[in-house]
Amino acid sequence: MSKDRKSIVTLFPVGNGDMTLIALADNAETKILVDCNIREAADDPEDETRDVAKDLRDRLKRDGKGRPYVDVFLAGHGDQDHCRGISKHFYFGPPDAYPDDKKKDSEKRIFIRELWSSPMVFRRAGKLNKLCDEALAFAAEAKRRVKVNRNKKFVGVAEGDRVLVLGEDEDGKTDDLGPILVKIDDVFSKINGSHNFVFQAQLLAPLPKADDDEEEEVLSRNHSSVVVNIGLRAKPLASTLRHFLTGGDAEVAIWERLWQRHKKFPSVLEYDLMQTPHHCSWHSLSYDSWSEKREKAAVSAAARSALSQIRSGGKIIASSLPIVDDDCDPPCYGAKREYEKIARGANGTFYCTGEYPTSESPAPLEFYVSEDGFEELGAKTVSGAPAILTSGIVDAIGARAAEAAAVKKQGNRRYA
Amino acid sequence: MLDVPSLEQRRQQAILQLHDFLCRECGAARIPDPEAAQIVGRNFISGWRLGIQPLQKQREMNVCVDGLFPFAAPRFQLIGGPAFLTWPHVEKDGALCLGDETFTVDASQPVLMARQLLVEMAFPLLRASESGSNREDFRTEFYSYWNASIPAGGVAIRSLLLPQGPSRAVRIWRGQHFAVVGETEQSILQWLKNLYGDQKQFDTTEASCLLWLNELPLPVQYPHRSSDVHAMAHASGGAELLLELAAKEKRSIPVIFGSVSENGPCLGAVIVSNTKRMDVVGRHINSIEAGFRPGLTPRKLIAKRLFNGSTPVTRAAVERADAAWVHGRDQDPRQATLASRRAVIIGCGAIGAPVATQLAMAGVGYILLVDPAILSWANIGRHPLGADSVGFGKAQQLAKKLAVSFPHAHFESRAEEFGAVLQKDQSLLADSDLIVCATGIWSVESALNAWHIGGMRPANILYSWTEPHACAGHAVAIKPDDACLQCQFSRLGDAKTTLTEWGSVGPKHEPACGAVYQPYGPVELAWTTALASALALDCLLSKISSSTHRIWAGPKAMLEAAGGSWNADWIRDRKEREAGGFLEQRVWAKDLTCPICT
Repeated sequence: MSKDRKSIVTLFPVGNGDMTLIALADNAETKILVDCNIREAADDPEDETRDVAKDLRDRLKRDGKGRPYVDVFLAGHGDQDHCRGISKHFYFGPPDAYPDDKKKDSEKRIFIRELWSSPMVFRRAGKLNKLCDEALAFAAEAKRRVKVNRNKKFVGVAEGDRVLVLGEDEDGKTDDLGPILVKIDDVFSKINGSHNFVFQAQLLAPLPKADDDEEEEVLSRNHSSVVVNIGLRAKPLASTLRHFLTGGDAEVAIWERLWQRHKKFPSVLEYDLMQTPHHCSWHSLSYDSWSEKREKAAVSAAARSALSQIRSGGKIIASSLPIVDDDCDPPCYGAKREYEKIARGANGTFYCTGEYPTSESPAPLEFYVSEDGFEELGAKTVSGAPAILTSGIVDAIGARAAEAAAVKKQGNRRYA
Repeated sequence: MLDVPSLEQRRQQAILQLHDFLCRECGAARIPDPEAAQIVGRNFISGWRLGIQPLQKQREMNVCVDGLFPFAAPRFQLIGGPAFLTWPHVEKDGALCLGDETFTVDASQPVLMARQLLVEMAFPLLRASESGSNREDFRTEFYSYWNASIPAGGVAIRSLLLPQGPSRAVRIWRGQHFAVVGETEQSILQWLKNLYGDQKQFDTTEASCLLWLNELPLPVQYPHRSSDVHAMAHASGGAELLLELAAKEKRSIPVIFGSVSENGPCLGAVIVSNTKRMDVVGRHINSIEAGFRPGLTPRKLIAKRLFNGSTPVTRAAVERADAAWVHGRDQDPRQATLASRRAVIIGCGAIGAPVATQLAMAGVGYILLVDPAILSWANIGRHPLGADSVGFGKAQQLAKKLAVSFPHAHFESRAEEFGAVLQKDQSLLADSDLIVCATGIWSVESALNAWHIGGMRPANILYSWTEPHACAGHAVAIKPDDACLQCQFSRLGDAKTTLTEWGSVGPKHEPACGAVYQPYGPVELAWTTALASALALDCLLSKISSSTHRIWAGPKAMLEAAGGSWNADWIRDRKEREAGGFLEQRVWAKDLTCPICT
């Protein structure tokens, strides 16, 4: 049996929200966290909501000082369902001032080695609604890091101060950030100061500020988000890249524009694994209201095209609550049907994080990168038994247990 | 006879259920039984292998059961995992340490047991290990890992040190098979002489040092070279100590280190060797002092040469043998008090000797034993001393035995009548914190009582005796400013409270003049000695505020079997006392007509 590392994408069951961990199969076992949605109920040991903070921490490595860390934290969208819980669970501030070294492991805040932030995303989100405290904290931390980088002229910046700016800001505010700026359509493979041989991503959005006010208004109103197509290799020398497309809450107009930009070379949008935008919202596919028009609601052909560049055997994941046939949006039953159609057309599969493995007891959904695409970890063999026990399968085995305990730690209270 | 399955049938049935679960739900493959049985160091009878992926890496794991299954849990054994001491709770052969001896299982639910172990313990342990989130466990269970990192055959170091900071100079005695480290030379040599007798090699100790660290090292930080030790000393503020030690010690430098883990203080040791080499004509030369006349090598140079990084070091285990550890593993808050207490035991017979032994075991730091009697064969059936002490003085032999058993404490003996001690060495009694009189002889008790009350000594005196056949026992703690012993005795030495009546059954006599005895055994007596020892501890810990009487009433069946009955006064209007088998505490009341204290 191979004991090689795998590149793994883990989608945590966080309700209508995003929280995705990308673990790379490089020697450093690099971890990239895209968004965070740790709800209060998930932190409450008395509540049955899945403790996703623990799930996340269980998957993170500790550095030489015993701190749990992620190599990269990417906040792809400015709404709370993409950054809830970050102040509690992540450390923001100068790396030298990290205050939790004397705390128990479970109480140490997660150290972020490099932040990936998009000023345009936060700026547009802030225009429509007041940014939540968590988003403001994230933006402040990004600004702090950019300042450190500027002061150091981008040389010798320490882990904890590193930042990558995704997309240009308005009015040339990011023009001097060359070494830490990724422009739209750029392909990049640098993580935490080093080139990574299993990772190669292309930034597709947020689209730059439009000269036309009306167009800029459209981009803002359509939940401007970081859209990035992340290529992952099964191992450092693997020949093929398998792509994970994630697009935050980007809605229909943005996907239409992405299709216009890339329809001549649609491979830019090709994916083996896609997280449906905006938690399976109908508004990523249509301008119509699902609750009002239901079956008569029209799907935008261009947006659907942008979201249909699935490769054979690809997977589409709705990071949302369980999807039922009602007027709710998101998650939207109509959107689910569209994505299922897209998946079926490529012999692929549609999943919902709120339903995996069961709606009653959802667990992290994990895929590893193979030469052929993304495979569900611990996929069942023909005989019905799992090939390998992964977290999800072990959780499912645990869920089948009776209430009664057959093992009791410190059960013996008699001594001799 | 009921048709119930045999142990073997139960085991086979449980193994079948476990097989079904592991293969169907976990994708496991059965390991042929002969192969499972060949797993070294384990007594497995069946096993399965399954693939696991706790985080990013695929691994294999055995699930095996031994002959105690399903009454004992299956064991999980990681195959091809990282090197030993990389992950906590993983033994050298990959076995996962999931529980301790308090771990219990429901033998009727083998599948639920395995499921729970896998889901709640084994898999989370591997996930935490792979992420590194449980590496602090290396510190909380430091001894398990440090001691396992020491090559076989190393010299064990026994510690009498106070396991606390700061870093300081200490002393060490080094023998061929073990070493003893302590705060002072005297404490070490006394400990050795108590344990092994006064031997000529117990004449001197060497310098050593204790480095008190902010936190215990993780396995990756365990010192391998002398430079690691130097770094450790530097971090603990003990660099100067190490330098002084390097200048003094020619042979090798023993360095003790310690710190506090979540489960209490821990100690380890490292021996830094002074590497020797031969010159061209085969003479051993000391590389540390090479180029200088003996004793004239600059200290800084010695330190530089010794701690230059290339000198390998030997790790050693440190066994704590200090009083706080021996008596209660640091968890007994009474120890600091008890270690400083002095007790005198007058009468080292069937009550005095067990009480002295129990007080020594409880941690009393000094005990003087007074008894002129010689141990006889008839004594040893209910006495802590055995046949090897027959013909020797009870007090002397007991002091020796206790000194060997508890070499950190002090024991003395006087093979004299109490009267002689009272005449010659009153200060021995007066300086004590407690006197236990366990003679049951009224002349001794009444004289001691008169001395106690008349001398206004601050110490309490505890008197203990049994009634015939040990069917009832008494322990009386007398406060010097409260009711005295005489208050509840007649002037002829009859206790005012007796529990039992014996009619014509009198004491037994050996075929010799004055050889009176009571025919009871150690088990019957144990209730009374425990009663007396507990009250003695209360006295030593200042928990007794007035003269106190504790009574043990034996079970009625025991009393009747010996031919006795309850005293009518004892059970008058107290029917609940008739069954016996209980302990009662009462005030030792003052008698306003007492000829001694009034």
